[in-house]
Amino acid sequence: MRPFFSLLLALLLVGSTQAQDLLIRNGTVLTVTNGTLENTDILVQDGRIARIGTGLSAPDGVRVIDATGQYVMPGIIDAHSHLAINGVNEGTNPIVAEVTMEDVLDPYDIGLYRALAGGVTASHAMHGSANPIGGQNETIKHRYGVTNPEALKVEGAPRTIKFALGENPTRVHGRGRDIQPATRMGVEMVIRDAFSRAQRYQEDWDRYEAESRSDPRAMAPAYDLRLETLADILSGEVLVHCHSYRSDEILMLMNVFRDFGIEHLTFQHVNEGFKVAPELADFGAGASVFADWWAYKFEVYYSTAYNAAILAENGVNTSINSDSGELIRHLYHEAGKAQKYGQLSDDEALALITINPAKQLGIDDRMGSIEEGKDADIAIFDAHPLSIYAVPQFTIVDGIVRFDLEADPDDMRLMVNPETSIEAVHLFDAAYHDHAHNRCMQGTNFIHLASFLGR
Amino acid sequence: MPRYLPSLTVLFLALFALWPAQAQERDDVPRVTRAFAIENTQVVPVPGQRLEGVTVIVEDGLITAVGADVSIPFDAQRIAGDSLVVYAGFIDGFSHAGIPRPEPDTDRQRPEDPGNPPNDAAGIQPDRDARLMLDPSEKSLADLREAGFTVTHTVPRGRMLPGRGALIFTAGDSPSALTLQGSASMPIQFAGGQGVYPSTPMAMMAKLRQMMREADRRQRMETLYASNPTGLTRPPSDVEHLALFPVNSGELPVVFRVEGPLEAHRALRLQEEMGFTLIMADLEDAMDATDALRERGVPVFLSLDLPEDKLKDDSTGTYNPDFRTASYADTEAEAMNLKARQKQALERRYAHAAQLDAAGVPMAFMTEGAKVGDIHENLRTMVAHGLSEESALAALTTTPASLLGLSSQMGTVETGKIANLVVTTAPYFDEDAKIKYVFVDGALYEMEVRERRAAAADGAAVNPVGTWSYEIDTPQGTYSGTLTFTGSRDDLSGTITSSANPEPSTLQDVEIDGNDVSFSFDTGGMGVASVAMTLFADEVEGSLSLGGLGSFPLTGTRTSGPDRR
Repeated sequence: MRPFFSLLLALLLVGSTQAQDLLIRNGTVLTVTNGTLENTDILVQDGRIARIGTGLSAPDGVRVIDATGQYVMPGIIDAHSHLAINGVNEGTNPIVAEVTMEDVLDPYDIGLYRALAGGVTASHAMHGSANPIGGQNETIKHRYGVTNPEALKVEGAPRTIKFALGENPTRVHGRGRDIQPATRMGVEMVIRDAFSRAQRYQEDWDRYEAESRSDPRAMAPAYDLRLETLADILSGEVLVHCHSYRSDEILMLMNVFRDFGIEHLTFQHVNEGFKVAPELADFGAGASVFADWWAYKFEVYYSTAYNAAILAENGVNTSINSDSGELIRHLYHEAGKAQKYGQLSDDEALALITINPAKQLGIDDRMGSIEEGKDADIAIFDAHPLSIYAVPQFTIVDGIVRFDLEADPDDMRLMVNPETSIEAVHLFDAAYHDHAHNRCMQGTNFIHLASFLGR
Repeated sequence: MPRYLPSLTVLFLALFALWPAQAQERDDVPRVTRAFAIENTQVVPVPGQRLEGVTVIVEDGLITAVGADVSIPFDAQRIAGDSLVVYAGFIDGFSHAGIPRPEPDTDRQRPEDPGNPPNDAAGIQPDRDARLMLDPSEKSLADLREAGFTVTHTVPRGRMLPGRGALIFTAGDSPSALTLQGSASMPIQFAGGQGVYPSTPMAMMAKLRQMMREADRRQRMETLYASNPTGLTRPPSDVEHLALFPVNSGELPVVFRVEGPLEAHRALRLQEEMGFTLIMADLEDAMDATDALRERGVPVFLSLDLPEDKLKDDSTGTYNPDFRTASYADTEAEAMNLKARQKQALERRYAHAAQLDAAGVPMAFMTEGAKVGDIHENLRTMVAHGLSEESALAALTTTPASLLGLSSQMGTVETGKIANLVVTTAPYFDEDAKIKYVFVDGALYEMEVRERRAAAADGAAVNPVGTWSYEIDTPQGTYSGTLTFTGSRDDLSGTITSSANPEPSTLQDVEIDGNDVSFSFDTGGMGVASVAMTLFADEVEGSLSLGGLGSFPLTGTRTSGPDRR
């Protein structure tokens, strides 16, 4: 149920990403899904990985990148970010399933280039966590340089939506406005109630569709974009990514989803995931975590740097995300931390930032590993990316070099304000130091404890 | 006359009570004649053409003749046009002219459930109508008129869906007389509900989808119900969805006010989904959206506002797009390059109109957001950056007429068209061109034109010594007095008098820099007034500020001086 102009869109995208052929010669290729290949070449044609092998020859005029002594890995994928969007939270209503980040993409965001400088080629531009059921997210590629917002989208990527449990939604709606949900119980009821209404909505439309076949005077039920989107979740068309911390609420949501027959679920943050790792694996839910970031509010104290490793060892599809314009620049460090604490293998650690998030976003058929036929999204490092000394040299998206450490000029802005000399730079966004004010909650009215107690 | 704070009125009475106020203009005197002849003049009948030595006849609100050999009605007011140029009256693509600003709502209650606010709190008011909000005494109308605009597409002030726009004249005795056409457009803008749904651009887009699709459903149900209501549940109805029916069917154009290329893409996206008729408004910089606008045939109302050149006095050099500093400590070279890039962005913005025009995007100018006093200069800047005078004039006359469906009524100086005319003292795009007369719907408005500034042109320093008579424009009328400078440019002093205070007040802190003079004086009881003004050969122009009351335009002419005894 997405009556958009997909055909035209696809044409538009082809036009905006003119693929470029490329030969990456003699690198150490970290395929992630097929081990490490020494002294290996990768031939890129039409934006795809055409061949992987040794002694490949480049057709005339094809650019050659000499990767001798360098490490070639799949482009890093961030399953939780807020880059390249205008606005994060529509925090006014506990349910805003009808809003979608794809409407407000901002290809001019310099954050995309900074992410490229950290080897990140795709990210999940998410709605914030102010609502039990937030807006729809958009999976984007970091094609920095395009200016049409449509050209950032990953064509054909499944739709996803943001849910949120715990302190954020209860603070905004319950404490802030004295409406449901004020408690974790309330969050559950808001979600259950929403799904029940969506079921009735779908039934009404199904009945109408059937009636209208025989009765030309059948009247359509009221149109409701919000309920329509929720019905798309029930039918499995939209994948759910849920902001969560505590194990009890994680179990709660899995129970709710079982009751409504919803299968596609990835928990975001999920700091207490290690407590319920077998249950997550049993459900088939994914987990997208921080390596070692916690204690920024009460519900995030019970945490451990072993979280990613414990989840992965228990068979949970686990990724490490940034949720930050700063952290996204060194997700390979974050994967390295998970390896240091949890003794993961190199491939297991790299999978946390490549193929695993690709699976969580439903794009693993095209991204997340170096395989023939996959998109040529590639990051080249001067040392092993899990080494603290590694520095990204090239980042390639669809076969186009979008970051080149040696060649790129200092000023990579696409849009310049003629009325401001130098725009303010907030590299260390507040999120890194105080998650409570992070971009997940941008645009919401924040109720401080002091004002709460004073009421 | 707009409302002023009582305190201000009282203070002005105290200050100027005994001054001989000039008689205020009266609007209620019947006009002597509705026939006019601008004789032996230059006419630009349509952009790109020029007629010399012709006479333009206006009768009963219409242009009845344009030609060299026309007979002048016996009762016509004759205007010698030999040094004047006649253009079609300008048509403004988008303004809030004639619509009073609402009083600030100080005790606005926050809706109980911000997620489901009443439509008016959410800014969803497509049922409103600009025609019902008009106040002919709004100063915005006179301001537009003085800038040559005779008709404007005025839009209710508001948020996302502020209400339907109307086409109005910039002069008229009553709201009905102002109105040319109601329900001319459905304006939309990305102005979210304040703390209520929809507050963000993404929610506004979702809400528009929701309302348009539901309007579509209801429109189909209405048709079905009208054909035979028996046995059918009555369709739901509310004024907001009802107002969107003509948008849904494409009859009423959406005028989407957007800021830059991102919002333009969003508006285009909604149009693609819903198929409404679209005009893009404001659009300070289309950037890459220009191609999409051309391909989709979406016209633009382009703002007459331009950013100020803040780097005027800086040396900026040439921008090097490949620039890399040798060391992060070398900030000077980097700063230089960043400034050069900013300058380039500024030049690009000045050339934006030319770029749209060259791309073949139909373009009309709009005044909302621009200072009326800057319009002439901004147009000249656009012309200096590649926009042809012909295209600029078309964007003020024929193109808006065509976009707003008015081509058969106005936009050119041709027989049979409504007598909306702009009469200038020189070709309009000349630096010195002033608007001398404006005809709105056949009625003549004469503008004050000051012929002067001889000394300013060659930059020579003017000696202010001597006496000057001055006038100050205030909301309560025009006041006058005498200003006397003594000494020399190097040692300037002086006094100021008025009939309220025949005893001269001594000027304090007199400073002169080039031809800019400033001083202050004690008004006696009203505190200290400060004046800043610029000297021309025999005239001064500036403003008088009175703490707390604001600033008022001051003009003066020399009555005696060192070179004029």
